[in-house]
Amino acid sequence: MVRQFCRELIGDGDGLSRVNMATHELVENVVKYSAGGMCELRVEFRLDGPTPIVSIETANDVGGEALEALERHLVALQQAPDPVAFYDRTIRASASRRQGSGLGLARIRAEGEMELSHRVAGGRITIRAESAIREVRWAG
Amino acid sequence: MGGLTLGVLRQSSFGIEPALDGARLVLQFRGTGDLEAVEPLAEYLDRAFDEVQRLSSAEVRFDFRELEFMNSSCFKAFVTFIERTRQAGGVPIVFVTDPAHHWQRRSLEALRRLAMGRVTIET
Repeated sequence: MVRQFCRELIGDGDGLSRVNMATHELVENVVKYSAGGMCELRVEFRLDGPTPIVSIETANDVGGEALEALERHLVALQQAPDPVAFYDRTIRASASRRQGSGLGLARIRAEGEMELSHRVAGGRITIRAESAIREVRWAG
Repeated sequence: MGGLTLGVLRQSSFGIEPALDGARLVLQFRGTGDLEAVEPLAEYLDRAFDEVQRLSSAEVRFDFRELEFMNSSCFKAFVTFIERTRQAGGVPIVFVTDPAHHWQRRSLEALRRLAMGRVTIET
């Protein structure tokens, strides 16, 4: 459904591919870390001056230790000056991981060329991926 | 030596078909590599590694032309495969891609950087 929605709005194939990938990874992140309760996915297009911006946001409840680990990972990722170098290091480290890949969010930032932000409130985490998009077909 | 012992992996939305092309092991992927595919793919690539060793393959070709998407957990199975084959002597690995699937160029570039000179991407 999200893919269909984005396909109708995004004119350039590479941009659509980046948005699909980021949405997929964020949703899978929710599936992996959710501690139950309501999960939300929000995809929004807006204009920042003349530039179309896409924003993909998920929100879900996460248990204590998992929340701390996820937030540590997000902070390290957001502070990394070179997203591609961070992603490459995460990829190398993933080879020896038994559980999970730890790659999804780093992939969004490096491969998807998106900015990541997050906020935590009462055990609930909201993660947002945002990027400029070259070509958007606005309705109306 | 001998023929292939690796079978076909068939799921509703994901699949792998193996073939031998001379001394090359060719794995043709189709569908979408999402959460359901993660475990079967990791197990399959473990068996593919054994097959590469048994056949002393000269090259492994991952044909992604019919692969619509792959999530990061599936991607990780390839990282493990590349690392295992590096430790075992470093068989060359080729990813065959379709430029219409834009994600492939972006995603596989990271695997090329991981094993520079051994992993190549063919369009």
